[in-house]
Amino acid sequence: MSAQELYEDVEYTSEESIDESRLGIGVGIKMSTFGPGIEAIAAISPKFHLRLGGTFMHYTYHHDDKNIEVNGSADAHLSSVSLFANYHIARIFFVSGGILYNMNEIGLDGFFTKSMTIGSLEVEPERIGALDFKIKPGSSLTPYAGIGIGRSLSKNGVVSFAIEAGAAFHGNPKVELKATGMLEPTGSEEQRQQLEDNLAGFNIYPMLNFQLSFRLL
Amino acid sequence: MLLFGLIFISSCNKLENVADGVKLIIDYNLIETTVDVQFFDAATGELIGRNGDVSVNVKITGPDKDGVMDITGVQNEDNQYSSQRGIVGLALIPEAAYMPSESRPVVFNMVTELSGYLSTSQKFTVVSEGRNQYRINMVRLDNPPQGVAVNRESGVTSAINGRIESPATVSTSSGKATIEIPADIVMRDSGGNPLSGSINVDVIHFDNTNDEALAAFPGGLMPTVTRADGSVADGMFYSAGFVAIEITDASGRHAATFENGTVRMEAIVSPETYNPETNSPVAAGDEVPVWSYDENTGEWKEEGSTTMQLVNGQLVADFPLTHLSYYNFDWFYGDYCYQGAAFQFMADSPITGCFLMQGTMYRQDDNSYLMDVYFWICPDEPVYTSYAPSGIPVKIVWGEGSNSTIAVAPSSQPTLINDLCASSPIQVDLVYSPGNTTTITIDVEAYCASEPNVIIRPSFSAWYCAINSWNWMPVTMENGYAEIMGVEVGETYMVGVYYDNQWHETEVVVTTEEYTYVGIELPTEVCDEVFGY
Repeated sequence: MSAQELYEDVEYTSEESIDESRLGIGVGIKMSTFGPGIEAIAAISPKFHLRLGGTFMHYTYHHDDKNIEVNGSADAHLSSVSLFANYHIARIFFVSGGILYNMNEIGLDGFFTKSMTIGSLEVEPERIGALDFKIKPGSSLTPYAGIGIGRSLSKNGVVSFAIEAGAAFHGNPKVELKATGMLEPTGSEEQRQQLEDNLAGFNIYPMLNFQLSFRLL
Repeated sequence: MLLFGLIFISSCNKLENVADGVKLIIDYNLIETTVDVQFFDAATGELIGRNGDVSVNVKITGPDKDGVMDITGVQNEDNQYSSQRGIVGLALIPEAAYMPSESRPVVFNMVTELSGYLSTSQKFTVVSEGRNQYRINMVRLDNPPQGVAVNRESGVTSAINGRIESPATVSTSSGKATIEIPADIVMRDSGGNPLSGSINVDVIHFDNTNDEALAAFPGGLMPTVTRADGSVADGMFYSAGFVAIEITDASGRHAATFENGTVRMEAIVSPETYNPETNSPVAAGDEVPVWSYDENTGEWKEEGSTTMQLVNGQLVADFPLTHLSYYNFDWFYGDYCYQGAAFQFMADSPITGCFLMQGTMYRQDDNSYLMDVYFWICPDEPVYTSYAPSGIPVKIVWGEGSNSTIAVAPSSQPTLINDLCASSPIQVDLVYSPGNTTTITIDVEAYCASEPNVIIRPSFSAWYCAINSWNWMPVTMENGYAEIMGVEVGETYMVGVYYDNQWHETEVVVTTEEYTYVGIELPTEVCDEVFGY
């Protein structure tokens, strides 16, 4: 199916053309700010869809340059299981709500690659230690609300497309902070709490979702 | 969408503040072995420079001198340091080459000088990591301790281009030591320069039967020696007396070598002196080795021996000197162990903190002073004797510890020990009486002005004392945290640290159990020397 046909499938969907008796189920693939994933969709009615999905993405970036003193890595572990309901409020617009089991985790770590000179001492990187910083959602069960355009399940055709934006309210993020070696006090409970306090405003995780769905029945 | 746009923008603004108040906190815990030395006036028993008026100059020499540094990690130029409040706090470089062990002790020598005091030195043999506490007693020449006789004479003779013009004899006031300088002998300093002009002579005699004199004995009584056959040995002296001689000219040059003759040294030996070779008091005809001291290495060299003579009813030992040094009549006993028996300090009730116990060790054979001993005792950590004579019965008379609430029980005072190097542990019973005292904790964080977001939590030795007592007691600070037990509520104490040749102290009135000192700005020169910023 071409992009034009996909567009037409979305475009012809209208209040007037909805067949109230047409129920159905389908599957979808999606790419969202929670990572790529799949979804099972059930059309309870043409206006009301239930979506059960899951996402998973793991990305690690290693900064490995022996020419600089500090190296490290960034680690994004994005995954979720979601149960959403869509309600079409207008021709191609819908609102969405539901709950996510949010398993996101963002991690950063850093370590010295070179010895440090302290006074007359050469302190080896192992002795200096490393820092490990992780952020997790405040609550694993995360309510979600959003709005979208398109359809998560085509009314009459096979293929449909939807774009959706929303927010997952994951609560104040939880911080894990660990440090080893001489840096160990940096990982103190006071420091961890300070980071949590600083991140307390980040209680919303933005959702942007592009979804391609296929009606099976 | 506008809503989500606002959320994103808001998030970006907040991200800038994520690290607000978060610091990079460094546990400055690099040091594994500390060497704290206190300098006492041998006569008064007071810390030298306790008021901050004078400093003892210290130079580290010996085979492992390059392994010694300041507790901040800075090694001073020429390995020279100076005491503050009578204290020098040093440490061993935490590298494999200077990791002390029984099989590889770290050995260095501390040469100490202070105007008006007899220069001395002390050899240190460190066999294990941890806290090491030492004491050096220095003899003030115008106020020597009991058993030390000093005679300082100016203009006893004169020299032209090193050649002594007329003979001279100088004795101590007690008459126990005499030197005879012949005419025509040529004297040069250590650089080979001849002495000239008016000649001044200091003669100092240490009575080997007097504990105060033995405690001030330069180099101590557990030395490293070079035997007459060239072999090097560690062990213990049975002393028959010690004579320090200094000859200077008008320009302050110190005589070191003699040509065209010898200087005769004569010492009267106490008949109470114990001869370990005969297991009886010394007698005429007994032979005793003669040793000269190299204060740069802290080692004694066997120069030969002399035979005790009975002169006018007194035992006399004499020896012709070919160079000038400190001289010692001693029998040497060379059996020792680097790490000996374990000490078990058993209190009648649990003690939670660390504390110092100090004692004086005497030989049981002749009841003579051997050395001062210090034990830094922490719960559940074994304490061992180090560098101890083997197979020699000794006793330890315990003094005041670092804590007035802890005393040695009468059953262990003194503690008699048959062999310090035996495998069986030595038990010392303690009585713990906390009374009206409490334990306070001190929390310290410092920073450099140029890097305010890098916080340093120091780990090193600190000291405390009741105000105006000057009796500084050690306490260990780890990761910026120190615990002081046995202080009295309502009393005022001083807490001080020594680093970078400087002393820093603060006054604490004990009203609560926790004291926090954060935001201490380190001196710029320390930041520059230690951290490079």
